[in-house]
Amino acid sequence: MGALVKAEFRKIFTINLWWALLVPVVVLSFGAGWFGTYFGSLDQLRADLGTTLPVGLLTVSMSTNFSTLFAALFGAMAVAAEHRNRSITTTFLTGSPRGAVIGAKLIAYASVGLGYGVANFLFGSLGGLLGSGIDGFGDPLDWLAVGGAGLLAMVLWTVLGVGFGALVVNSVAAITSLLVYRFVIESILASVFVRAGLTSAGAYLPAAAGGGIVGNVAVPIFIQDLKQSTGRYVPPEASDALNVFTGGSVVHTWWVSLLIFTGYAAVFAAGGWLLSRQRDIT
Amino acid sequence: MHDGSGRIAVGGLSKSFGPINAVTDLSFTVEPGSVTGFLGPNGSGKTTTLRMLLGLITPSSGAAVINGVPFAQLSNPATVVGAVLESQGFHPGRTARNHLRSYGAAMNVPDERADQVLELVGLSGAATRRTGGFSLGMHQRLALATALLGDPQVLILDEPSNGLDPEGIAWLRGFLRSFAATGRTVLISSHLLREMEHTVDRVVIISRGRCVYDGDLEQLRSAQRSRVLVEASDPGKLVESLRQAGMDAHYLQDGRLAVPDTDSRTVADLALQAGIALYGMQDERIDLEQLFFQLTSGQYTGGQYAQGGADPRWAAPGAGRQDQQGGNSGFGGGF
Repeated sequence: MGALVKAEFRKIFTINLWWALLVPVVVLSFGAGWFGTYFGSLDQLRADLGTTLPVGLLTVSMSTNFSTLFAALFGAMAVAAEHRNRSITTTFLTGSPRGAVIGAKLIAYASVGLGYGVANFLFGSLGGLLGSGIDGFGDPLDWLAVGGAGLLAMVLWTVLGVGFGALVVNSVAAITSLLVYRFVIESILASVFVRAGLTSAGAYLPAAAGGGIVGNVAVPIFIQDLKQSTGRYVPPEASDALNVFTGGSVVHTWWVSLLIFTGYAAVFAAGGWLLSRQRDIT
Repeated sequence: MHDGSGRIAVGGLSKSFGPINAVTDLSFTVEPGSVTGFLGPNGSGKTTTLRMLLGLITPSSGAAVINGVPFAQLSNPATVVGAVLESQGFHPGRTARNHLRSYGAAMNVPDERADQVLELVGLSGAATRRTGGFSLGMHQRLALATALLGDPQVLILDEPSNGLDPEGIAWLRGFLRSFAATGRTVLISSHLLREMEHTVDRVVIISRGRCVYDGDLEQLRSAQRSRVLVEASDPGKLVESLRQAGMDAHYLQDGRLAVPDTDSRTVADLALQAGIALYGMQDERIDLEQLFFQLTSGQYTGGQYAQGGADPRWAAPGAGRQDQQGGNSGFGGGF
C-alpha cells in the first residue's frame, strides 16, 4: 500500500495539474483576504460601528469555499484523467488489487487537498493581515478554529472529487458537471425547496453543507463578536446576509454541516471505489 | 501465491458485450521457454482475451490464470507479468523517466531500474522528454520499457509491431527470442502471421472469438499444400494421364493447368510418357499467410480474405473455396 501511495504522489508531482490548480487557490485566498477586508463592505461596516471586528475570519471562510472547488476538480482528475489518457491500464497492471490502487489515490489526493487547504489558510490570512491588520482576526483560537474547519472542508471536497471522478470516468463530463452543479443546479434546487415550503432542506444539499463546515464556524463567531463589541441586538437576517458570501447557513451548526458533507464524500468515494473494482478496462 | 511456473492457462473463456460474443469458449495454454503467437484477424477477440488474462476485463464465464492464479490474486503483478497493450496510454505532460519512476514506485523497484529499461529499449536519449512529443514507435518502446520494469517472468504483447519501423520490428524479434530463451514466457498477438513467422514457436489462431488452431508452427508449416502450374501442348490429354495416375487437375483462367499435391518432376515424367510437350512449369506452395487466411476466413462474410488478400489464382473456383470451408470447422479436415 505504501508503494502505491508513493506511486500516486509521484504521478501527481510529475505533471503540472497540482500547481495549475494551486495558483487560483493562492490568488483567490490572498485576494479575498486583502480586498475583502480592506476595500469591501466589511470595512465599511467596521467604520460605521467604530470598532474592530474579526472580518478576516469571514474572508478566510469565503476563500475556503471558493478554493474547495479547485480541490474537488483536482480530486476528480485522479481517476478520470487516467481513463482519458488510458494510463489506467498500466496503473491496474502495476498495482493490485484495484481497490488498493483507488485507496492509494484517495490518500495521496486527500493529502495534496490538505496542502491546498494550508495554502488557502495561510494566504487568506496574509491577505487579511494586509487589509485589516492583526485586529481583523479576533481571538487566535477563533482564527485556528476557522482554519481547521477550512482544512477539513478542503480534504473532504478532494475525497468527494476523487470518488466522483471514479464514478463518472469521463474527465470532461466530471469537470463540467461539478462546475454546473456547484454554480447552477444547487441554487435552482435550493430555490425549488424554498418555494415548496421546505426552507431548511437546501442546507442539506452538498455545496451548502460543504460550505457550512467553515462558514458555520466563522459567521457565529463574527456575530458573537459584533454583539459583544457593540452591545446591540443583531437580527438573524445579518447571519443570512453574511452566509451569502461566506457559505453555510443558519439552519445547521458547523458540525452538523460537517457530518452531512462527510456523508456525501463517503458515498461518492465508496461508489467510485466499488465501481473501479469492477469496471472493464477495454 | 502463484506457482512460479510461467505458464498461462485459459480455460473455457467467454465474454459477451451485450449481444456481441467477443470470445466464445476459448481454451489454450502457453508454455514457458517459448514464444507463442496469438493470431487472428482484427476483431476476432485477441485484445479482449489478453485483457481478460490481465484482469482488466471480467470474463462472462471461464477463467484465465498466470502461474496458476488469476491476475487479481498476484500480489505484485508487475513482477510476474509485464504487458504491452494496444492503446496503452501515457500522460502527455510526463517525461519518460518520470513515467517509469512513478510505476516503478508502485512495484517497489529501485529508481535506477527506470534508466536501465530505457537503455534496454533504446530510449535513453529521450528520458527527459515529455511523452506527448513521442512518435508511435517511441510510445511502443516506452510501453515495453514499462512492462519490463518489474523484470517479469511472463511478457504479453498486443500487436507490438504497430508503429515500429522495420528496424524496430527486427530488434523486437531478437529481443523476444532471447527473452524466451532464458526460460521465460512470451505471448504475442498479431493479425499478420507473416510478421510473426520468424518470431514464434507455437501459434494459437482464433477466428470470431473461437480457437481454430493451437499447436506448433512447424506442424502448421508441414501441412502446407503444394501444387504445380503447367502449360501443356495438349492439356486435355495431360488431364487424362494425370487422372490415370490418380491425380486431379483443373484449368486456370489463363489456360494453364493446376495440379495439386504434387511436384513438377512427377508431372514432367507423366507428360513425357504420354508424349505431351510442356512449355512451362511452376511449383507453388501455399505460404503460411494463405493458410492463415483460410483458417480465419468467414470472420466477415465468407471469401473476403481469399479474394482480397491471397493470390487470386487460389481463389479461383475449386480448391480455394473448399479449403475455406474446411478451415472453419477445424484445422485437420481441409488439409
